[in-house]
Amino acid sequence: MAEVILKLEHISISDSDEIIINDISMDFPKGKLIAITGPSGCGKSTLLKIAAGLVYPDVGKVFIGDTDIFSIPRTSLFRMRKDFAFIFQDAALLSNLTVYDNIALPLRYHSNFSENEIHEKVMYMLQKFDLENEKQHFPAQLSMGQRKLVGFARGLILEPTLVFMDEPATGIDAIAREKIVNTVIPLRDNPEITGILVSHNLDIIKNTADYIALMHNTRLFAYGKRDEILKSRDPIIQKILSIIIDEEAAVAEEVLGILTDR
Amino acid sequence: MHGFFYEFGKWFLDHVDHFTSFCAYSIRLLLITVQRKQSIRTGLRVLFKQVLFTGVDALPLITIVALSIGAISIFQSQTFLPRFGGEPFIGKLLVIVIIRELGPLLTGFIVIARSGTAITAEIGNMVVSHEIEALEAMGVDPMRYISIPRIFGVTASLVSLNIYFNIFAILGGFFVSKLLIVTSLTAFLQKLLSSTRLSDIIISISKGFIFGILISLICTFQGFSVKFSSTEVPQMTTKAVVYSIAATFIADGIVTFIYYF
Repeated sequence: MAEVILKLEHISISDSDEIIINDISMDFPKGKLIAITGPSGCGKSTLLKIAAGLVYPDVGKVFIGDTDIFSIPRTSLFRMRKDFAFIFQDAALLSNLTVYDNIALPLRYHSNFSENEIHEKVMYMLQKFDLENEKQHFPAQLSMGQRKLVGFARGLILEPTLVFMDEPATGIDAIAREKIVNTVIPLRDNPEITGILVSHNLDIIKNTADYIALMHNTRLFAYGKRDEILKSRDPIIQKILSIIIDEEAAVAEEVLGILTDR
Repeated sequence: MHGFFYEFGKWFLDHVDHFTSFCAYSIRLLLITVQRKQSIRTGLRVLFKQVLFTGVDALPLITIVALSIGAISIFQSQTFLPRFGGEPFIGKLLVIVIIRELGPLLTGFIVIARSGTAITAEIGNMVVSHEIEALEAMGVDPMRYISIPRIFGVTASLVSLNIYFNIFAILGGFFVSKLLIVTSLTAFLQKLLSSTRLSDIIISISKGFIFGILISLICTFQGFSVKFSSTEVPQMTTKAVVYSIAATFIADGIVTFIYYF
């Protein structure tokens, strides 16, 4: 495995009596795209938030490089995060800012660029994600697919080295999904960028991931190169993958049902 | 009986915990404010919007309330004080009642009702919709981006509105004086100025400043106290109003007490 950029050590977290993550340790190699997948409720999104330092675990440590991110002051963690991007499942755009201002916010906060330079960079992102006509719209005026694209534009504008993506292709139409896949593939191919993708869409994972971490029942069940996991003959791995496929099909059926009812 | 003590103990500890969290929040904000700034650009935009909403947009309401209070105070004192030989004290009464007390207090209440509630609800909704989490993920400190500009904006607005309130309350008083006893603006102002000391103005501005800080601290803190559900937003907004009013009265009492002793 290449140089490790992110390391999780014995991460556990619970909510009241319910265990969410149970003693997970993982290394994330630099310049690769690692997909974390598993059936619904197995704790993959929580694990992603812990890895990004957004949720504090009950037990365990997270190292980015040599830094234990939960032992450094809050201000230092905020400074570190300008090199990260976190793409939220629901996009989490600032509702009182326009698309343009949402994308410009990290630049205005972290950089000393002039407004002209910021304008240039934001316009480049808007063109890249085909959002020029929506630049003065507020998030409530956008479709979920467009919101996710704005989330990507906002996340990538500071040229991060570590990109966390929580279900980037869930709940969106095929066109937006294709745009997102076309955004994720260059991230994977860039040796300076490490991507961590949480998804239970195996098509996206097949198209983008270098490594797959398979979670089941709050634990890390298997972790290895994409083809090793997807082509594994281990009956339990096959069973977990079939559960994920069934869940994806059920979601698709549900969406189709809603559309048919209309 | 056991149940009563359990419930009371829980209530008491919850409030102690809430208060210590509030103190920690306030100290952290103070530290962030004095620290070297990363970029004040984003904060200035929020500050500008806050001053516009809390200060400028409140002017019509403040004008109506101030004119009415000034007029009522003079009308009541002109009607009743002469009966008890208190006519010479009308000017002093206006200064004490309006400039020292009602000006800062009523301006504070208007700011609580208009802006305090809006701030708590806005931050609460941002927590529920993961916008605060998104800011943290971008490395944008929510306290620096959200709290500090609002605290500066509300405080500056409240001090300015308080001065504006005092001026319009005096004008309201003048209009009534003009109706009841024929007096010129110059004579009215002379009488008023002779009753006003520098300390009255300093107390009024100090109260506006203190109320502004307290109200904005409480309302931003209550907004951040929302955890998971949108049903918490109105609950926290109500608490923000109650705590802000209580804090305003307590601070008013303390400042007045300090002045006289």
